[in-house]
Amino acid sequence: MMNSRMLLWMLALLFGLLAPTASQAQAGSSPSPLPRADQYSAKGADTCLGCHDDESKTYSASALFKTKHAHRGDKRSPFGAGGLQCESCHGPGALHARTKKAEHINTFKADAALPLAQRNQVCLGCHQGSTRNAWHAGAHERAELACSDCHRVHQQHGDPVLSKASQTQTCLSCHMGQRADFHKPSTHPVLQGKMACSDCHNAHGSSAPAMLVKATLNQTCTGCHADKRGPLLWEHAPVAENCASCHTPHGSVRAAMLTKTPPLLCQQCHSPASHPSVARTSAGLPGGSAGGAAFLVAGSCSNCHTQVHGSNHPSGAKLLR
Amino acid sequence: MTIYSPLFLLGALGVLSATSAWAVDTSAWKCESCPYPKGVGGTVEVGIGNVSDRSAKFGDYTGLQRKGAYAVLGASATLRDPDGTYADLNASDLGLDSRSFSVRGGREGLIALDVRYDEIPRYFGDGAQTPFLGAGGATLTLPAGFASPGTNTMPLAANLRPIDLGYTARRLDLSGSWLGTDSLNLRMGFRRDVRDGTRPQYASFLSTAAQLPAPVDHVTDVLELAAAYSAAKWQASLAYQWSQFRNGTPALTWDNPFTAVVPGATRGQLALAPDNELQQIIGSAAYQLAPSIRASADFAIGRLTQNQGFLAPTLTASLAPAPLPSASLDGKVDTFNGSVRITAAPLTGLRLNASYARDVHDNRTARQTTPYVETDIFAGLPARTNTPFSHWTDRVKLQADYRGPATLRLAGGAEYEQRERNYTEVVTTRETTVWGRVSLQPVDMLGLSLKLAHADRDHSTYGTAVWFGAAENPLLRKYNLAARLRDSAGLRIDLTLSDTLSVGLSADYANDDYHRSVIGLTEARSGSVAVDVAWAASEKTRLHAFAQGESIRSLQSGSQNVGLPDWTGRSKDRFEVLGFGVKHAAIPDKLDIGADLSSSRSRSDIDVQTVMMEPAFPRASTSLDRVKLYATYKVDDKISLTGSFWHESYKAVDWRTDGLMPAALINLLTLGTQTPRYRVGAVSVSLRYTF
Repeated sequence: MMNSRMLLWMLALLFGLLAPTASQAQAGSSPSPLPRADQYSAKGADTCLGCHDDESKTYSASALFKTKHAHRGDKRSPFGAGGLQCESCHGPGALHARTKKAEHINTFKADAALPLAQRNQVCLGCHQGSTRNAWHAGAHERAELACSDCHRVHQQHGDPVLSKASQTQTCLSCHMGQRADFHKPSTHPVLQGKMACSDCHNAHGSSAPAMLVKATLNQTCTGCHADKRGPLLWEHAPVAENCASCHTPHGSVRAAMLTKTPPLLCQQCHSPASHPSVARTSAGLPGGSAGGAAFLVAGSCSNCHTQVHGSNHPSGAKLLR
Repeated sequence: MTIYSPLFLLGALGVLSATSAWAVDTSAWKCESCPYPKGVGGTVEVGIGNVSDRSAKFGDYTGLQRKGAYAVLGASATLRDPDGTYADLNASDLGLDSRSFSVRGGREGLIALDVRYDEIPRYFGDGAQTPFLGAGGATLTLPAGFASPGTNTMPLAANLRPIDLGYTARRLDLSGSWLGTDSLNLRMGFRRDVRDGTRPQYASFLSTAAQLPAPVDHVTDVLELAAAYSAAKWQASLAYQWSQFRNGTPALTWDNPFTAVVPGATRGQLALAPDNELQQIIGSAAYQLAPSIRASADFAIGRLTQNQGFLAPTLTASLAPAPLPSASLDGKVDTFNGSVRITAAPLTGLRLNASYARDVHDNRTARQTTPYVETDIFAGLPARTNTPFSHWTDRVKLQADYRGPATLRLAGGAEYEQRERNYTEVVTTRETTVWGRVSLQPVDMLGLSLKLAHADRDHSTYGTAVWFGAAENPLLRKYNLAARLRDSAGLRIDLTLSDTLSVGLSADYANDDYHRSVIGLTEARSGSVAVDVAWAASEKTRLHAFAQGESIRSLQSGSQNVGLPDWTGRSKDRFEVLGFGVKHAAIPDKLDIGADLSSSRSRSDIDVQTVMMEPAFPRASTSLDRVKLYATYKVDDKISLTGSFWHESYKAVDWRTDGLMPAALINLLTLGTQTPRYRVGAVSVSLRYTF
């Protein structure tokens, strides 16, 4: 049986196997040649803006100057003291300024001359760390996503991905299944612009399942739904372990984003003698022959077992109080 | 002025060693033509809108639940000062219950401040009516003489009054960062969530129940202090987070609307969510071991506590249970979450990835045996002992990505998860997943990707759990613990038909086989197909369209004799959605128009079968058709006019709520909210002034 100690030994072994690889990689790799000073433009941003102004037929860079990337007072910014301005990110621009050809500059597009890893490293050189510490191991990095596939730095109203109202469209362009979920009758307020994917997920990678912002699903959910956090005197086991035991957070065709209609939902786990194990057929509906409609309609099981998330009442052992 | 290029540029070029710096002469880089905004500027939007009809469902999240006119109010502003002071303000929907605003500002390179406020309205149906007085408060009372043996004899006609069910969630978020050095960032944040209003909640006395307008009176505060340090080869961050939940109404007392079964059982009391507190220390770090090897780790150590005073076991004075063992729970849960990850690129085109994570939810709440009164009616029952559930999870992942010849990409991996639990039927579950993906681009315009995965979960001996009441059917396997085989497949096709036209297709399938479960969930299957089209028809016109279909089915078995299966339950959900959108610059720099249309349909079928061969349940369905049209006309550089038209038609059929008026069932008093159906249009026109 696997245990923590065995797992740690496996990782140590893997690390040991990789260590020689590391030295080989370091010894074998040859750094890219550094640009020469004369490969940079004569006047920096003034050179670029000579073409890329608001009259440009190709690309206007003016929107950047409303954003933090153009803060002159911030030493870390490309436009801070000593910064290389546009060429901090786009690379040396003298050749592009002469030829006006896109292939002579890093355009951050998929067909740019710079390989993906180096295009991303331009961004990660400043923006690595904090919530992006796990980028290197995340699904988006492994899927060879470029930073510029989601982020738009040169936008008049800021990067759309950083706004709740506009972020979702970027995510849904790939995650089509979730788009259908957000159109279902019971969902989180994502299409209304009140929540964004990043409220629950860390697109830059995390160790949690589904790249959640918190370490576990329950910690993510109770970040907003703190009333469900507990601990409680009488706990409902699946609630304490995993909210997704009963809920599907992207959306459901039934109320409260439930995965299934009660009582069938509850009867997947409860089947002792007495009423939980009784087959509730359509004959039990109001006007039917079987009676027991209260087990089916309205809240079904929660008509009585109302404290389905657990109870702190001394007489709440059966979640009735 | 001669400067040295920053290290980050060296990193961009793949060189992270301390090579000798070189110089770029930026003395002529004055940025004289850089179009920095100066001073104060912004917009103010004022207008009027109208909603054609009232609908709680239409207003849920949007704030447009009331029929009639509403104010369209919004604003934006920017401040840029030559000394580096800046601020950006945005405010929208100020005339609605879904209003929001944000202010971001600071001093470049020194401090950054962020203030955000947002409201989200929730509405729980139209037509709610209740005989209870005091809705939204801690005590719900009934007129004298109301209680009756059944709803058919209750004096409802004289006492039902309409109420609005819903609450508003308000969030205030304040944060500030100090950017004093190149490498160190200090951040402090405070967030307050307030929810107040009502929501529906049921409460029972043995075999009778009532739906109550329960109070929502919640405040959640979160304080975070964080520091992040970034160097060339390593980054680290450390944060302390404190979160407190407070419920202004910790209990709901209600008058029993049904004749008391035992003398004195005329009132009941529900314990609402108790106050709780969470503290966490969260850290993460990453280190570049070599140009092609990177490792990172994070941890979170937390403690969750709850010590709300207990309510009385019963309000029925004639019942005298034994004293409680303690006045409060003194609940305590210790949490630990830690993970380490390492990635390496040992060969050109090959990437390896390994990670290990451990999550601990250690409930250290003491067990106590508590006297128990069932629904304020039956005392003298065996005392109950609580079960503080804990779980410990270990996850290991190994993955490899290979870039083959031409456009071939191969990826594969294995994952192992082991979870241990206490007080449940199963001590340990173990799941192993293997997966593989192949992607290629056989021609420039076509991308293909196929992913297959197989997971096998088993468990230690399936025993019995500590619970109350009758023993469980020994053949039952709870689906979150049961042995399971899971197979899934995903296909993705991307067609780039031209520079301006792209089509995406995807198909997904998953099958869960609970192959050792005799009672409980035995099988679940889902499939979906989606197509997405994006077309930049011209410089002025962009269109997008999508169509998706999904089906989710499950099968479960039950037994009315605590033995072998004698009934089955089939559940099938189907959902389809079509969408279309267009944006068009009808008159460039003058008139922009757009439209978004969507149409969605859902169908849910449930069939529970015994030897009696009953018919299936009536189909539950929803249909939603939505049209949004908008246009913006720029009168001049300062003034623009915006108009919008939004129409929704929603119809739902649901046997659970259709026709369920307050007295529809003799032993269940409901609020009478009906399955939502509406046809609502909202139009607005506004003027935006730019200053």
